[in-house]
Order: sequence, then C-alpha cells, then structure tokens
Amino acid sequence: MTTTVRPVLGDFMSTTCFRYLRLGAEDTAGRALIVAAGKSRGHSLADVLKGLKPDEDVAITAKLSEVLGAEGTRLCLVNEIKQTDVGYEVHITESACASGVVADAPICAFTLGVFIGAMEVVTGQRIYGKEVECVAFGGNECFYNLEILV
Amino acid sequence: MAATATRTEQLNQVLDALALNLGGDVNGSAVVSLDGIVLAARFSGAVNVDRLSAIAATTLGVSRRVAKDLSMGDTHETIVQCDNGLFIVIPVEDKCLLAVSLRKGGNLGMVRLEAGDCGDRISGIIG
Repeated sequence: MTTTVRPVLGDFMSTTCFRYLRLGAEDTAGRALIVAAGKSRGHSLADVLKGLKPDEDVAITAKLSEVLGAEGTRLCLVNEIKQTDVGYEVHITESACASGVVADAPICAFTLGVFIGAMEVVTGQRIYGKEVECVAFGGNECFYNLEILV
Repeated sequence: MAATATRTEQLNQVLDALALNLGGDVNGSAVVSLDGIVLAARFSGAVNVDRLSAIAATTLGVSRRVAKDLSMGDTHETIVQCDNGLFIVIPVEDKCLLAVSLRKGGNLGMVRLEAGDCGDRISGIIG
C-alpha cells in the first residue's frame, strides 16, 4: 500500500520553498489568494479549537501555540492573543511568512489568514484582519489587529 | 433614539440601494477587502460568499498584474462575461472592491453609473 507521508523527509520543508510558493503566487495574483489559503488552514483547526470560548484569550493562545508553534507545524511562535473592544490582537514571532524576507510593507498574508480563520472558528463570526507590524517590515514582532464584523 | 448602524449595516444599505436602482438586473453583490475578506454581501444562501470574495479580490489582483505588465495604467474594472450573466469587479480607490453579479441581459452601463455612486458611499463608510 502506498502512503503520501514521506518516509525519509517527513512532514517538514524549508521556508525557502514556502517563500517561493507564496511570493510567486502573490506576485501573479495578489494577496487575496494567499489569505484565503491561510483562512482555510485556520478553519481546519475547528476540532482542535472546539470548546474554547471567545473570551478565553490565554487558552486560545496556548492551543494555537501548541498547534502552530515549535511542537506543532512551526508556522510561527504564538506569543499572545488578546481580546480588544472590536476583536483581537495577535502577537507572533518567527512567522514563516517573514522568514528571510525584507519588504517595504507587511508580508504575512498566509499567517494573517490562518489567525483570521482560527478566530472565525472560535467566535462563529466573520473577521477582518490587518497587519500592524511585521518583522519583514522592520518590526520586532508580527502584530495583527482582528476585527469582528458585526 | 435609533441606534447607529454598524459599518456592515451601512455597507449592506449601499448594496440594497444598488439592487433597488438596477431593478431586477442584480443577482447579488458584495463589498470585499483587497485581501479578499467579505465586508458586506447580498447573495443568496446558495453562494459561498467567503470563497466568492476571495475569488473577486484575486480576479482584481490578476487584472492589475496584467495592466502592470503591459504598462496599461490603473485597472478600473474587471468583467467576466458568461452565458448566463456578467460578474463585475470594481476597485473602490485603494481601499476595497465592489463585486456585482448581473443577470444575462443586465444593463452594464447602468451598473457602471450606479457603481460610481456606490463607490463614493463605500469609500466614505470604510474611511
């Protein structure tokens, strides 16, 4: 029986290849395609996030850190997800999107999409997201503002 | 005193006015961020609005890329013409986009006129 799991290389690949995939697609078609892919990944975490309530910032941070961080898929280090008047602040470092990139604008389209999708799962509402800071753009962290659309 | 309408409600009012002013020509419409996030939409429940919004923004992204590579200036609209209708994507300044699905035989000229007014209102709401 064949398997799609790679016996030698395993589940991980370099951010170099990820970067070419992302930036190449973005260069041709814009950011929306990448944000949508990220949202889809965020939505796929529904089982993992099941039972978390929208005001449980610390538990949400811990769960997403577990799934996306060093012990998970290594998309980024999730430092803090904090509830605000309109939605959430997301603070991360070592984003795969920003790795090895210097840009003249925030560049975390995929990672932003993942957090939008994940928080849509937690809140059950549509969310708009904006990158405020990005390591690739000179920031010390990547910081997103998520707004619940009401 | 009536409560102030939320941004989404205000955008929905713009889309409702668009549909009203164009008679029965409009199948549905949406205001979408340039990242493909739906900000407001008036489509039937059969339409996956999240996916359609991402596609609309990507359509605009591809159009802009074509315009840039061919040195054709700014993109003012993108039209997908099909057997049973038209899908139109119109950028609203550099803030968001308006996507409109028109029935077959719908009046494209009127859509362009109305979309201009809609764009001004949307721009004012988005800020």
